Amino acid sequence: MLEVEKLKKSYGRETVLRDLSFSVREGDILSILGRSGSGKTTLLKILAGLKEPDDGEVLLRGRPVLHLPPQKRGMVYLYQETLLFPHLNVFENMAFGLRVRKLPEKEIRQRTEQLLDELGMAGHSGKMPEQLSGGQQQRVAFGRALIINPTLLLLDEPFGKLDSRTREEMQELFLRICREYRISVLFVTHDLKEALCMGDRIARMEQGQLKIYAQRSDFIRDTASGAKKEMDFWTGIREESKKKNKDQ
Amino acid sequence: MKPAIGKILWVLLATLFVLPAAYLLLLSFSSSWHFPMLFPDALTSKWWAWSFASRYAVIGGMGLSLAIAAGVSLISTLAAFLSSRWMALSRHRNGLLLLAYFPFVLSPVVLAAAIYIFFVRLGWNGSVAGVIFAHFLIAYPYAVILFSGYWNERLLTMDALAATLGAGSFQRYRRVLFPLSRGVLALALFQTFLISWFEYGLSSYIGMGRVPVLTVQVYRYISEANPHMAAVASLLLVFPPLLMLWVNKRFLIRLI
Repeated sequence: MLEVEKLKKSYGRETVLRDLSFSVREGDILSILGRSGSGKTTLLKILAGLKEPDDGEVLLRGRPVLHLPPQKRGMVYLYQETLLFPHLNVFENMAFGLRVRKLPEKEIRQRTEQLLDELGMAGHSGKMPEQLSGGQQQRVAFGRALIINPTLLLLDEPFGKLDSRTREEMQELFLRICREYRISVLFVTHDLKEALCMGDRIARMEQGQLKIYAQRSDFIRDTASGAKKEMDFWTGIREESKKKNKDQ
Repeated sequence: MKPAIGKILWVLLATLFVLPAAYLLLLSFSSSWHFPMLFPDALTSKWWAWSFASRYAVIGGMGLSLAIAAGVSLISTLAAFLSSRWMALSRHRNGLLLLAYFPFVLSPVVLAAAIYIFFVRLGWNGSVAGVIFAHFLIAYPYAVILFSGYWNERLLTMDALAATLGAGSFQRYRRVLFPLSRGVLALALFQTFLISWFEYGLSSYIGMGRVPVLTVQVYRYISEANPHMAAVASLLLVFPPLLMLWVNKRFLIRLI
């Protein structure tokens, strides 16, 4: 569905993307892990049309898209911040993508109300963004992107600013909706657990290239992924507490 | 500060602001006012009646000033809003901003003298269009400077998000950028209106006396030693900005 071929991007002398190639299947969620400054955001912005690559090709359902402006690519880029439009209420925020497509009012109302209901926001449609909690704002931002049936969702650490409980709720909701609508997703995070929970496949960005793991077990086995170190840490803690219990 | 001193200061400041306008008002209704009298010997409404007479064309000048200032403020605010967004994304932002300050290094009269030859060659001297363009030359960079700090990361990101949601350039301005920027747009419209409204040097030089805006008329009456008509024209010059200030006080006071 998405084919990225030999993508290159440099800022001055610093190479951020180095002949980067990968593909995403229809309905697949690809989690991308990487340190800060590893080029994850640059990759998403190039795909969304918000930055230009130095070289390379991007095909979406077989069609080259690099020459297209962001509004014609069918990819929605979601930031860590929800960025709800502060002058619009929940309903209008959610309906934004339908309004700019000039759909009939009846259809806009029907589709927006249906999605509001599905996201558990039906009772909040008249509220302004500042009247919502962080989780509710995230639901609206997510709905605003989903309502236009994007070909590909680009998520840049979308749950990074939520507390752990809301974050888990949002992860569950996100997975349920993505499965239901069969949406293809590139999910950038620096949270190892989140990457494992959310992704059908996991990739790691390092030195301008993307390493995609065929299986989760491959990812865990790779010492550079940090997964084994994390598991060893928790195993150590468990064994230590077991030993303490025995001694007592 | 003691309440009594505060009250006295308030009265002093209010008097300082209101006194010139009050003096002009009195002068515009006086038929003779001899030194050292504190008030006029006699009052008359003939100066105001004359201002409506076509021979004096003060009201016509006011209408012309209004049309020019409204046009200049609308064009320069819109152009500056669009170009400052482009500048915010440009690598040459600082250099361009520095250039925007250039017209203010010169006084308007010096600027008028410098550009006059181009207006003559283009045939724009002595015409309303020429005066509008001359005012635009100072109102536009002023508005660019005003907007230069406005385009922050959050606003630009919101604009980019709206693009990925399917909004083209026009839709983004219509549905996101203009509604979010109502306050700063109102401020720019107001300020550029004032720049054009009170502009004398460019109006006089480029207009060559053939474009009788109010500021040109005020100076003309002063040079003709007609203080009463000059007072009428001055009061008409003050009235629209005061009205705009009152109408826009909600936006302007919030932004100050």
